[in-house]
Amino acid sequence: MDRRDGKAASRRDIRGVGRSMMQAIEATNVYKRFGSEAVLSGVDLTLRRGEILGILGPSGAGKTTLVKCLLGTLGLDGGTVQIDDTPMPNLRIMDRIGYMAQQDALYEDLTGIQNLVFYARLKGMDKHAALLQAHELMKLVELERDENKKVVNYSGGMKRRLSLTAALIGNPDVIILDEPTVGIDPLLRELFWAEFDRLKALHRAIIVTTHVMDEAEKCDRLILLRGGAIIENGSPKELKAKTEQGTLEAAFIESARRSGKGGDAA
Amino acid sequence: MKSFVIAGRLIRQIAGDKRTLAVMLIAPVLIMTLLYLLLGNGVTTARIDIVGADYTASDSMKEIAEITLVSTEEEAIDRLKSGESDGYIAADRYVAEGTEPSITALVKRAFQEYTLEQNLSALPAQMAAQAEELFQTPEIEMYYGSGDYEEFDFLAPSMMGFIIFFLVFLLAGIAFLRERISGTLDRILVSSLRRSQLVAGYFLGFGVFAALQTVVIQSFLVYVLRIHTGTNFLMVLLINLTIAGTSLAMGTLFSAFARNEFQLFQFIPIVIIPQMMFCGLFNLRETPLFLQLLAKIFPLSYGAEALRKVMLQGLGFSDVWLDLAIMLGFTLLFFALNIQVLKKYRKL
Repeated sequence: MDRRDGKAASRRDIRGVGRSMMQAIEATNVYKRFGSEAVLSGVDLTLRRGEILGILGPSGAGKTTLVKCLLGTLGLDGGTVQIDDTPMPNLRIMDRIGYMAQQDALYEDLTGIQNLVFYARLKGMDKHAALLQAHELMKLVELERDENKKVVNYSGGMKRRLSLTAALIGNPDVIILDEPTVGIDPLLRELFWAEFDRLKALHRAIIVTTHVMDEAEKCDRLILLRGGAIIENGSPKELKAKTEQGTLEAAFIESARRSGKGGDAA
Repeated sequence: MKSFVIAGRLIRQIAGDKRTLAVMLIAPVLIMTLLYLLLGNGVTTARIDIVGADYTASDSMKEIAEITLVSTEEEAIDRLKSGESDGYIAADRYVAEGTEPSITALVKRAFQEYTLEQNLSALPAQMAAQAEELFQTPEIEMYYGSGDYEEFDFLAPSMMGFIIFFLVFLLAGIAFLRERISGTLDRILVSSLRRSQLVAGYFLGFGVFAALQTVVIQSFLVYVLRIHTGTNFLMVLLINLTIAGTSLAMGTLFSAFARNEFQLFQFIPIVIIPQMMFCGLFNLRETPLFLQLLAKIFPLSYGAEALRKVMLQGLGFSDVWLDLAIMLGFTLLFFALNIQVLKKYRKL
């Protein structure tokens, strides 16, 4: 079992900087079917360390399926996913991924801190280091006063914050967040994006799915997903420059028309 | 090691939930008490009316029946209809109420005793004494136990096995189901945790509670109800842990085929009730062969059998190892199936 304490984690961070030119995630020609229905058809994407990649698309476009394929929790029907040059799924790599799903995925009958320590220990941290980092993260999302309350007593926004910290515990190199800001107030959204930027500065590779345009602006690079295929790929600036109106929304609508794909195909 | 992380979390969850804890520890005591009271106070005498005769109950009659003398048959019929008597004798007519077989059996014995006494009294005194000797019951020795086993003593081991099986099936099944529907399963599988470690963690966590249940039920049986439970407590513990393991493997496996708690409960009539029927409540010796074979596919029939051997017959490991091995086989089978089913969540 690879135990990791704070020291080992920071050593790995330094190594991460050294390898920052390497692709953190490289997905090639990913296909996924549910029954006879093609949910992803030939998706390619790459992500470097220190970069935030936004996956933008209407609901049903295949965002969550793509995320699960990248994580390795869903088997592929075609194509490959590599994280740090290692084909997925790979158990060793799994410990270095932080994942936040659309569902909060918390144990409601445990306290906030117990949830975090549990997830940290699954990632191989020892008890002491886990507790230390859990307190740190709780402070970061302003939950330190509620850390000993059972999650069942948390409000929706508090659960969202705790769910984010559960994805960040264990210093993951690759952070995959599926609709992290859905249903939270603007203030909290500010807090989340400040945190994403901090992680980016720490050379982490971050993927965020969203269907909110103004959030997409904050990503370094965007992928527009529709009907299970990528219809546009580039920085927000590049995408906006392609349209007369100069907005992401217009870029999205125009490329959707060009691709001629139905949005609810997936 | 990661299994211990899973087990630790489960223990923390259950220990922090007073309702679940109460169900696990108090419910078995409650069920056992009710069963003890109900079985211990069953009907032991028939109520018989005798029409128009002068009869004084002998000692052996008093043991099996309560005799009332009435003057007319109409009166006897009224008393039978209103439930005041279980049967009556009018001259040479012997009438039993006849709905409840166990009471009918008592009534029959009383009628036989009555006719025997009547026949004996018709004989000359000397012959009567000789004839009575013919009907002496022999002194009976009990090979196992002390001879004062009552119905509850016999059923307690099976019930203990059933209660542990049932509660572990439900609680572990629900815990695993929640893991799926709340999304925590997806999240915990984004780590180097192996699927087998996850299931093993469940075994460890619920094993602790099954052990605790065994201690509570066993102590209650021994110190409060004061029934026969054998002396080999560790053997009972081992059997109960095996039962809990099988039950957990089944509960977590079946939870994969339920989308919510209610759908899990729908498995109770199919999976749980037959286990109860075949765990020793009924003697299968004279049932058709297919029923006896059917019992063999229900793991609890082996567990209950082992418990009876240890608690009632005072047998040891050499007599129950095969039962335990069969249950272990069932457990490994369900365990392996569950790990296959979990592939849906992560191939590796």
